[in-house]
Amino acid sequence: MKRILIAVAGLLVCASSMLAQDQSADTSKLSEDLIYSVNRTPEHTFDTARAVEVITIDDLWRKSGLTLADILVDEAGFIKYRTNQYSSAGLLRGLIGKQVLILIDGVKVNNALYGDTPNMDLIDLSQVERIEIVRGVVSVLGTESLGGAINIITRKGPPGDKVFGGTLTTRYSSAADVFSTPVQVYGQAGKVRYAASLNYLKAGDTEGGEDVGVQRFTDFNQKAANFNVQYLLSADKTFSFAYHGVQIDDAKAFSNLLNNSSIHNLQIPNRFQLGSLAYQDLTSRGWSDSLKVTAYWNQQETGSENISAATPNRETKVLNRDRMLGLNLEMGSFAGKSQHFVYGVDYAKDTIVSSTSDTDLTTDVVTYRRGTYTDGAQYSSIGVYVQDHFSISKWLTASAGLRYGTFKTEGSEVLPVIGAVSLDSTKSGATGSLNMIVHVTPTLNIIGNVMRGFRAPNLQDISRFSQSSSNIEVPATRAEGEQVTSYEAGVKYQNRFLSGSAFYFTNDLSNLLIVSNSTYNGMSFNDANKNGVKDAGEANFRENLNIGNAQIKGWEANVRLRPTQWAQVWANMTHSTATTDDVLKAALVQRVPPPFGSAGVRFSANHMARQPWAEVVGTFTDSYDVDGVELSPSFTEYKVRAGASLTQRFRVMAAVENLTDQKYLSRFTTVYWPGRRFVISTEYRF
Amino acid sequence: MKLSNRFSKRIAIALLAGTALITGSAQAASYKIIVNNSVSVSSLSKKAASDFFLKKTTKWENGTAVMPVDQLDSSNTREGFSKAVHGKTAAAVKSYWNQQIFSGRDVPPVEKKSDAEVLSFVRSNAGAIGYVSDAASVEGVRVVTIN
Repeated sequence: MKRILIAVAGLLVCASSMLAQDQSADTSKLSEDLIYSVNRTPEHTFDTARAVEVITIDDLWRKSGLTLADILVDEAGFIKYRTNQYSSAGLLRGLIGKQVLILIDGVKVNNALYGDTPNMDLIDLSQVERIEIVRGVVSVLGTESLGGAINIITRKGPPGDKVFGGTLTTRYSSAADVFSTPVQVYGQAGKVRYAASLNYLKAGDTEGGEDVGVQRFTDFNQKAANFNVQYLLSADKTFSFAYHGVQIDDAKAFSNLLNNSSIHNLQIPNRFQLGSLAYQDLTSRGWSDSLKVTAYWNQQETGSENISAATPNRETKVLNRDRMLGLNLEMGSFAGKSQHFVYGVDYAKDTIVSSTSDTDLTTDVVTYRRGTYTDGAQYSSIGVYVQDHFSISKWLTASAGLRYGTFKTEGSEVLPVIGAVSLDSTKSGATGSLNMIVHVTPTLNIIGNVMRGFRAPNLQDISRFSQSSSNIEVPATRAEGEQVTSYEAGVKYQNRFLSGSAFYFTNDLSNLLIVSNSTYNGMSFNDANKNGVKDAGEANFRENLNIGNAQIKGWEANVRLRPTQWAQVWANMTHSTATTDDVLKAALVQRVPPPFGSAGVRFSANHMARQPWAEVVGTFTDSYDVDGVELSPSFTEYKVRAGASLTQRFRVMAAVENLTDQKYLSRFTTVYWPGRRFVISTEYRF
Repeated sequence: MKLSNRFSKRIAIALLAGTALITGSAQAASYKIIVNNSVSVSSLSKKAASDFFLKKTTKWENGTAVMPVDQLDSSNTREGFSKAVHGKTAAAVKSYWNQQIFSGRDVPPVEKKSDAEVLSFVRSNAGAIGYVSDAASVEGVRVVTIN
């Protein structure tokens, strides 16, 4: 990571000496109305059959969020859970973590160790140009998209015809004295276009609302480096290389420190790196109109350092590393007047390093033992897909997609109590979708969709092993894929003054993996003394089993009214309910969010030189109760934001968030939501 | 797995049905390519014309910047022009431009709603090139033939 930071810093310095020869138009504005993630090809959002949201580069500035989840939090259908002070997980249609596909420029981030609440915030926002959200199964993107997909599109080059430029941004938030300083440069020289950024973020202890006060040991630091270089071989052919890296330092398991169960605790390493090489060719051939080859390397590391108060002479370090190598080959072909096929093949292979080491602090002797997962385990997948988008008539457009994947796990080890375990297995499954749009008028589309999703168990599902006095969780070698069948009906409307969409969906989920009591070698407990009877101190066996079935229904609606050029009002609302068997109540139904939504009004005067704007946004989440027990209280947050360009090169935005200083602890959360906070961002363009 | 297979079969059938659908071909109108009078070209090859409209060639021989102008993608003239010059449908050309926009490379030519607007644009911009329907009056611009 250090070498990468140095390399990007070098690029930032050297870039300024590059000369200009080429010109490029401003594609950023035009791309705001396009979405890639529905059919794996850019198309207009209004003309897609799916429930989608696009967050533009202007939205990113106005929201001035610290994390990806901060940016998405006001969007229809998306709810954010802060899993701790430095990470969040996002929920779409009742599904979270490994059941929501996250991509950067179409390259998947979900690895074989993605669990229920992976940190979706390990993405530096300073290089992001736009974010696409598709709710519901996206068959052609990958099998993890049971709840939906979030695709983060990064900046590729300079805006407009700029030869060289950049931005120096600062952001401060008072809730945790968060300060970040992204520096970005971009430019073009001859056939080369580039964009690169460095970011350093320092966060103090988070202060909650009302009487919560400062939450000790919640401080952390984060550093990030990004670059994207395009080599323009010709007007049709582009070769590109991109790197995105984020590292979190000094994060702590603060509850262990607060209750004095740990003398020392750091949640390190916590690192995400993604490198990709891509070749795109839009030359028209008889058999293909586009060709794209992408190779990528994705390495994610998590771990901890801990000295327990009970054993002050022993430091325990845990390291879990997933290194994924992937390759995608994709082509597009037109047939007839408007039939567009996109088809391709995906390959990915994950290799796991997982270990725990104990260091005797008096003798410095290190002993190694099993990590969280099976060390050396491998997970590989091959998927083939085809998507066909076609106009049946002037009134009716359809798209159908099919993806078939094979997933292979390999690994073995000898575990305490249960002995030799082999993870070797091969699973396969299909996902698909059929979407229809009736173009009732040029401004009104009525939509009907049916989708089938499949998610093969990953290594996080099958290779976990833990042992306590009451339970032994054994590796889930019998686990099969989770499935969902979705039906969706919707309407989209768009004219000059009014736009909006409403979708009703029903998801029938089956074979969901739930950790439950199980049997091993015919026994439900570890019969240590071999007497056939469960005695005190003999632990129960537990295992991740395909025993969950549920139905999640709901609707999502959003509307935006632009009565004049300088004012707009918007609102969105999401409501879902779930019915399930008892075994899932704790694991799944609790994830189904209570009704939530947001509304806002914005005034902007883009025709004025200083382009002033101001907005008020309210976000509401209802309380969540299961069987009369309140799992989380209701929460309403108001935000007031305003900004302007003070000169041609310098702009500023300021905000007061959580205006009423509400106290809120959402589910899956151990840290209170930040209380009333002042946010200020400045951007200097050079 | 049974349900999965059944569903996959349905989707595969839908894909095949989609493939088999021959969409009604709209009347592809004939067209004339026109350039600004400052451009001293009287004929172009199909490839050269296509390259101008796809912005693969950005300058005329005399160094003037090429300013292509398209008609709306719903126009029959555009459909006829696209098939004849680009060798692909207007939808395929639109998809090409969407991919160029999306990859941050370039934006499509400006679009005009009618022959009259295209003519006005070509007349008033040095280096401009456009196309209009065969029936359009082409005073004040030069007509270019495709060979």
